[in-house]
Amino acid sequence: MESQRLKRSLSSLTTEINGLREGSFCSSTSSSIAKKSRQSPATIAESDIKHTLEDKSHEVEEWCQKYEPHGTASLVLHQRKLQDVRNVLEPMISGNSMCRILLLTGPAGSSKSSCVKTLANEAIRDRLNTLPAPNFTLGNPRKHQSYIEYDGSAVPLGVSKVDHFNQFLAESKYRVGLNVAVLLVEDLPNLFHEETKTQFQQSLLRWLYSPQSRLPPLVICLTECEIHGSKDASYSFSIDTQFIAETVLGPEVLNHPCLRRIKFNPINKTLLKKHLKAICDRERKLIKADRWEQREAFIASIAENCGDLRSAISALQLWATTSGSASTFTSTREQSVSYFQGLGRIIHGSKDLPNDSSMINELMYSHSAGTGELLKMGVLENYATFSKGQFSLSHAVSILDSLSIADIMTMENTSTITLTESVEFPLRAVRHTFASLGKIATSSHHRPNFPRESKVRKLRRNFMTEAGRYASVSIQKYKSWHSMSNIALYYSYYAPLIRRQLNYKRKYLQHYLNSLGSDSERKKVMLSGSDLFVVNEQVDVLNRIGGELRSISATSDVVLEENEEPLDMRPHMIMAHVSDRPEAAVDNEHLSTDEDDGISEEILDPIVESASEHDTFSFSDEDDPIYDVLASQSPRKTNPH
Amino acid sequence: MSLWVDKYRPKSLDTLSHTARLTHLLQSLAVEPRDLPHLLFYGPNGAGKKTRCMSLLQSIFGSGVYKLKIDVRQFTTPSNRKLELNVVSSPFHLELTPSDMGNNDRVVIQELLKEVAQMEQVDFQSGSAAETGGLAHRYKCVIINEADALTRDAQAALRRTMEKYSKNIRFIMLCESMSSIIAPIKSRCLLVRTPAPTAQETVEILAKVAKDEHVSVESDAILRSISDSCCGNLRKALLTLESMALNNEMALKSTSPLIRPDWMVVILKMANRIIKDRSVSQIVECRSTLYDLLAHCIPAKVIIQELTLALMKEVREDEHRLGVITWAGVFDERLCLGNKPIYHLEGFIARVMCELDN
Amino acid sequence: MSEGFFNKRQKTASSERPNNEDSKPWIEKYRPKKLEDVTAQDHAVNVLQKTLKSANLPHMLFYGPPGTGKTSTILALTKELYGPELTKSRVLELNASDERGIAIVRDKIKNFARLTVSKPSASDIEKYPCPPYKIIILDEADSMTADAQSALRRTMETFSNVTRFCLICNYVTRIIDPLASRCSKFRFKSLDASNALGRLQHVATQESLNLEDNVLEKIMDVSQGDLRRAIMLLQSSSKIVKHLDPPIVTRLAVDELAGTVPSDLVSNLTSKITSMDFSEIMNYVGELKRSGWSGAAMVNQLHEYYINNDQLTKSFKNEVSWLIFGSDSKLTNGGNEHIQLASLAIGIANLYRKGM
Repeated sequence: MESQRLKRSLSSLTTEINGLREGSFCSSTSSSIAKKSRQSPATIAESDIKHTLEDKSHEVEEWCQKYEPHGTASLVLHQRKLQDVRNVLEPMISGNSMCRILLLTGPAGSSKSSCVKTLANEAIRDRLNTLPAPNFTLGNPRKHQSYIEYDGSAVPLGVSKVDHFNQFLAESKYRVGLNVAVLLVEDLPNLFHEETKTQFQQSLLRWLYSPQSRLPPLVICLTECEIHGSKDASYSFSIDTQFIAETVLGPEVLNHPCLRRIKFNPINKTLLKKHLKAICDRERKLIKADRWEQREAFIASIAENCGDLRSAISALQLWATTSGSASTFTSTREQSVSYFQGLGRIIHGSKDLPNDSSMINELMYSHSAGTGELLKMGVLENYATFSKGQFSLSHAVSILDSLSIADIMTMENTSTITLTESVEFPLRAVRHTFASLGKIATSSHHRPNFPRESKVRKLRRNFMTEAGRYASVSIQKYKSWHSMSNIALYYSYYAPLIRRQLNYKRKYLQHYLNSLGSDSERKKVMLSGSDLFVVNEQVDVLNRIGGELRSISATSDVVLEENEEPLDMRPHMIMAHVSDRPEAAVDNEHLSTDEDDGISEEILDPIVESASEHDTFSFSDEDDPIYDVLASQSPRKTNPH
Repeated sequence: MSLWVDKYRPKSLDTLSHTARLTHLLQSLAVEPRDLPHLLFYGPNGAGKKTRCMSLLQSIFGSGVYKLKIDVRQFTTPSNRKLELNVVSSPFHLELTPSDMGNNDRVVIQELLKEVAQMEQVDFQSGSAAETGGLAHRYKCVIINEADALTRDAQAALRRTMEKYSKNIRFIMLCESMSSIIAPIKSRCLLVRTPAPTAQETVEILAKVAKDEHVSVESDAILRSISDSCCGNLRKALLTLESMALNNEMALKSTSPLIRPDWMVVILKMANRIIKDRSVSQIVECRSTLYDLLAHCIPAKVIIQELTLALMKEVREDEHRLGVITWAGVFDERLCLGNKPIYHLEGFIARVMCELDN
Repeated sequence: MSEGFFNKRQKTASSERPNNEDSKPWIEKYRPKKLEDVTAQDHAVNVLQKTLKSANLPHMLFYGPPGTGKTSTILALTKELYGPELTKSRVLELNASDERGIAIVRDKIKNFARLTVSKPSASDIEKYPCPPYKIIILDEADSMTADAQSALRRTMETFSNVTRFCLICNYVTRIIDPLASRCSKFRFKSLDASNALGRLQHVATQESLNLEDNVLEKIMDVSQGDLRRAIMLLQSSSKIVKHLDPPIVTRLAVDELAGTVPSDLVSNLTSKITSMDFSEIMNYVGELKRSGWSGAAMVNQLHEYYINNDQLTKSFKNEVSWLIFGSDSKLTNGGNEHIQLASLAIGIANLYRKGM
């Protein structure tokens, strides 16, 4: 419900624009049609934004289409990022690159696809211009289609989306050499369906491993987002809550050497402002006088809380061309606040926002109850990092008390439904507590720890499986039935202990037995030790069910944990250093996931926090997705063997 | 051989060890098996509720009740989720444990009981009289372990079922605490209080088992200390005895160290840490311990109870004790109402530290 | 589907039922057969007696604490109205907690309500009034959902020519207003000791029980005005002592069966509380738990002790009440008996310590 309220998307803004427009031109371009119209071969204009304002259709045209960039110069994108993309894409087009898939990830409206389109246009035009064209059937090179977009909405009836996608890949396979075109995939099949997702990943892998020596460059633009409003409070990172490259494509595709990933950030404020101002100047005629006066302030406010170019332009258009109270338009599509950002804000406060109350408001808007649960767990896991735990117990008490009270705020009889109040209350209470402590002068925020809850759940499941095995041995072999709760409390510890001892004795006895000469002596020993020979290493459970409790000798164990942590953290550290080079980071991650896939190790693994204090890197938005993935993997020991 | 706790478990009413009063009561019930009312055994863990209930069944149906088997049954919840459940049964009874079923216990109970009633019908026609040794009791027993864990919903459903099927099914419910059982169920059952054996009784039982297993016991003192550490939980006492005997080459000296369950030791140590080092960083360390206990499926309620008892023993000042027990009461309730035990356990620890600081 | 199954089972069960009164629960056996036998509800009985004569019955709503004779009254009334034979076709009794949904109201109740009345046999007409309407009894009506209750409202009006409703509930506030306003309300008072005791005595004599002195008073005390509970207690205690030698129902047996804590244990605890030694209290509470006594019952009995103790000041009683109130609610929410009882006991001891 929340997400519906919040996700004022482009399309809803569009309809609003068309509805509110004074002239009330009958708009025939609904957003979906508009989107398709972009597919038509782009005409390459000499100068980019110069449009004839006499154009009749301009009034119904949407600005974000109208001002779609037509050259790299007009792209609203940081030059370095543009260069990054160019460096990868151009060799791909010319066929001098190992790379087969270019993956662009980032939030909505960060110019991912525009960037690809303009670059493709330029690169292919240049290429055709410089090469003597031997094949005249191509006709005018300027008419050559430099990119092909995959259109997922045009799936014929009865054909699955993935099949359609495969067909698309097969058909465009031969767009190489002179006929080269960039394959642009923005529209993905329904990846929330597990099977479809697997199939989709399979077809990408086939593409990556295809024996064909040359393939057209395939560019996938993935709009990453956190998905709110999932019905169950899920704390794990899965595609249901995190629509990001890691969950969509899976590690195998993502770590393939023939895939390059470039991450886009929300559009920089200055760039955004500049661009919006330029649009205002060009649309001078349409903008009402009073609005024209206020434009600077409005643009600034848009730029402040929105890194989404498309929605910023739409908001501007809506504001400029309609009359009505200005305040209603100043809020654009809220930027979602990621888990780590949110945590940082709750614990350390936010500099960007005027006061804590509005910060919490924003946080509440961008989180559904489900992810709110994750936030609460995060607060529990991280509140002690505030000024390195150097605050009084009474403050800790008030934080924990608010969390504890929030946990019992459920609707009557429906313990599964989480109330928003149960999220908002503790967040406000915690922020209030920390605010009263004042700002601590430690500028470097610790990297927030990830809740251990999911790890504990995994261990519990593991315990249950082992206990189930114990129970079935005990009823089949010993004819006695123990209930699960008694197994957890008593048998899980005592029974393996006893059987282990018996087993040891049995071995000893066996040894002695073998050393004996006569049969009669053997029989005597066998008879006396008949109890022992029942124990069987293969059948009986001889180890503490669920693994030893790690904290038995708590003090020494803590030392142990600390010893392990630097080891454990190593991949994180490396990653943080190389995070400005995303490709390397992805490679590295590949290493760290490959090293330790043994489940058995995990059982012995102590429950340590996901990150230690050694890790003092301040986190920037750019690192987030990697961290997300890392954090979702439980920390493991680097292979001790 | 099976564990001593199973090996020396009484199998019939005549061999039941402690609390003679209760044994008489059960014997009088067994005289007229046709009239067996629904029973509700209540008492602490390890006091012999299950043993008594099985002995009673044995005296009614014969030793067939010990021919246990496990079936995996499938259930579909109203939300269309598939649920698998292990059901332990003998030809004469079946056992249910609500904690295995989670929130769907109402569905499971209704489904299973319906099934039982149907099965019973078939039994009538095939003439089960011969199997039961001439005593054709036309009902089947349903044992509900941990009945206090049943949801209100399930209890309400049970209440009706108890009347509706009273000719076919007898319920025997086992629970530690009666407070979460609704009054209509209590009023339909014969309440059977099952006290734990007294310290003396425990020592006697331990001594007998030790003798039968040829464990030499230096003095009764060691048995007494086992009995003290187990607070009348005979299951725990026997397990302790067996593991200690094996650890000490079947010769218990008065100085042999007690073997307690590892999680108990962890909780005791945690209590000490809470008292000695009262700081935010200690809370964080305790959280790791708590998570570890939870990962080993130690119920949060047990953690808070043991922790409270340990704290009450260690803390000296009355003012502090009052604080500990009061907050234990508060957080114990929150554990029942909430979803995530860790908040409440950690909240309790923080509160206790704060109280001790005053 | 399940519905059909249940019906079948019920039929077979009833046909198989051996005709011995022994196994029959005493609450059924000694249920009043006539209106005038109903104990201590003169007001309701008088009104209903009148309606018997005029044979004109309104819709009725019976409310009051459990075990005060609500169900007995209506059952006796129907018997007097229709006689044993006609009752089967004229009366529908629904008291299922699991048959509460709106679907039941729509189908089962409506279908029954819609039926035209069957013609009574000549002999019945002679003996009984046999008014020309059916009666639907809804026991435990307060556990019906609100929408089921609203659905009932229509049904009640539409078929009022051939059907009368009798709703029975413990809490009249849980019946929606529109429904309550369509019924004449009868409040059933909690039974006073003498009336109930007489009834209990009657049962005991009929069953020729050997009773210890004051056992019946003890039973009434324990069951707190709930006659059904009292009779059930009497039956189970008689069953238990049946095979003892001598078969005498003792107060101890009653305590045991009712799950209440013997008074000497309660007074032990209270004296420990007054001594204000927290360790002693903890030990004693541990001891109580070890013997398996119910914590909830202990809390109730502590409440009785402190409230009825005239030596205590009002403000002290007030404080104690608050503590007990808290403990009781925590226990009802599923709290751990050991911790909650210890917390309560130490809380009260602390009141003494503070010198209140």
